[in-house]
Amino acid sequence: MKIVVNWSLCEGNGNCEAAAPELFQLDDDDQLEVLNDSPPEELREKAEAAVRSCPKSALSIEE
Amino acid sequence: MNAQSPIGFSYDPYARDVLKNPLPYYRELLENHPGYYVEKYDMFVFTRFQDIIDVAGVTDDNTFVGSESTLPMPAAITHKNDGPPPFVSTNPMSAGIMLPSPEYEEMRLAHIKPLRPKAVAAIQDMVRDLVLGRLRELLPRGRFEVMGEFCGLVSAAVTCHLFGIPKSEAQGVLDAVNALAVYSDDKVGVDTPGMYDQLKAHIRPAIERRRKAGADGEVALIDGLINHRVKSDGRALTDDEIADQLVCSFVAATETPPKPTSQGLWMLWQNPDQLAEVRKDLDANIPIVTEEILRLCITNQFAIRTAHKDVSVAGVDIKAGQRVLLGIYAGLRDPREFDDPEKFIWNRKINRVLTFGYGQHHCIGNNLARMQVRTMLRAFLEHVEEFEFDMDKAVHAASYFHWGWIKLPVVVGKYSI
Ligand code: HEM
Ligand code: SF4
Repeated sequence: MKIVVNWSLCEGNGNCEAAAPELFQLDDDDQLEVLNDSPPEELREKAEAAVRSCPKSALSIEE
Repeated sequence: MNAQSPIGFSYDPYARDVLKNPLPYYRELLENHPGYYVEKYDMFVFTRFQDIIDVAGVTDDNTFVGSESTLPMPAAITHKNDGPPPFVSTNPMSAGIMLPSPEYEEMRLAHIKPLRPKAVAAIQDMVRDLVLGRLRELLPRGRFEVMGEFCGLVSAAVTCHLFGIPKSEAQGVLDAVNALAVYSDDKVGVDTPGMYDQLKAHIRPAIERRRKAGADGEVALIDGLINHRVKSDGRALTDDEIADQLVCSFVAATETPPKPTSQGLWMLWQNPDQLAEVRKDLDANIPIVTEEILRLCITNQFAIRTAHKDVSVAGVDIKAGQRVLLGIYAGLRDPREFDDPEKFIWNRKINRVLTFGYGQHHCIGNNLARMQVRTMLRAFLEHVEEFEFDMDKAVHAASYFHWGWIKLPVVVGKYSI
């Protein structure tokens, strides 16, 4: 599983961090950092929740 | 499948009957008419939660653009487009909401900094002080109007902060924004071009002030745009172009957080059992109840886009030049997404949020809005033990833009501050 961010859409609003803090974090400037872009299978559900939570549809998962 | 208007039901978002009470129309649209076609505006209406996400989620290649405004006056969309309409000018830079990509994103990112989560968290104490200041003045009166006198003045002061305008001008800002939202029988809509001119008269001096002060980033909303260089040609933006990017935030920051806050308090007052539950632990419960208030107590109805490409989405074939209406208010009441959707349940499970729209135009102020609503609710409930709304004196607006209460007088019993 690979997490892909469309950086031209991401606005750093942090919804993904709330859904999956293991995978996403906003830095001190509110810029998104992906903590782990190839997470283990047990985090799939959280990763999918993060994708759903992004209001800019900036996130996707590649198998 | 292109849904045809069936005999016996017709929906026109601007019709007087709909403005008076859109709820029965939304119920019928939700139940029986996905992708409902309105001939008069050559427009498809989407009310189901998932359909709105699907349509608003088409964010690539300028398929949908706010090129005819996202909240057009009805007269602006009664002509049929023969193919895609032209894009608005990007030199000079047109109002942000109408821009195509990539300029749309470029302008947003140039001023989004003070609206991001940590920047918003950093002004929470200031907002709490504003709220307490208002309560100290209002509570001893025993009776006041929640929407304007309490919430409206708080939000207007936050607008002042965002724009680097002295907070002493908050009342003037509030009056200017409210003046546009006065509805009468002969004025159903928001005259967007007129509104832009009037509000820019307030915004332009703020921009001039920032230029004089050196635009060092302290008022990041404006300074970000002053310091921005347009990617395509490297030029700086004029004051007028900057003002055009900020009108929407000026209005929204002033008038939208008060609506769910005061209608949410009204909702809690009508449900005393739920209010008692919430009061048990304000720290834990305010963020939870805020989400249900933001689902059921907002007033903005919908947003419109124009298709610039043929696209098939949410079961409808849409041709370039046709319009789509995203029925956000209706979608928040979709039984496919929420059980017993019209019922206020303070701690209901909310899996997905549509309050702030979705996709490209998703509310730039969503963090600020949430923080304001939470802070105002929290302080009111903490300091006011007994309150009652005087609904005989309440005023309701009929409008396609905002539908809901615009004046909510409250009578205060026991309080402490
Ligand atoms: C509870 C309060 C609020 C609600 C319910 C709300 C709702 C919305 C919605 C639904 C949209 C999407 C419109 C569309 O899709 O065309 C939007 C966009 C927007 N909102 Fe908010 N909003 C709120 C507060 C704020 C605040 C505090 C600001 C201040 C900065 C703000 C500024 C904007 C702007 C600039 C846009 C973008 C318009 C565009 O590009 O089309 N909003 N808002
Ligand atoms: S939710 Fe989406 S837009 Fe927001 S920070 Fe995460 S990826 Fe970016």
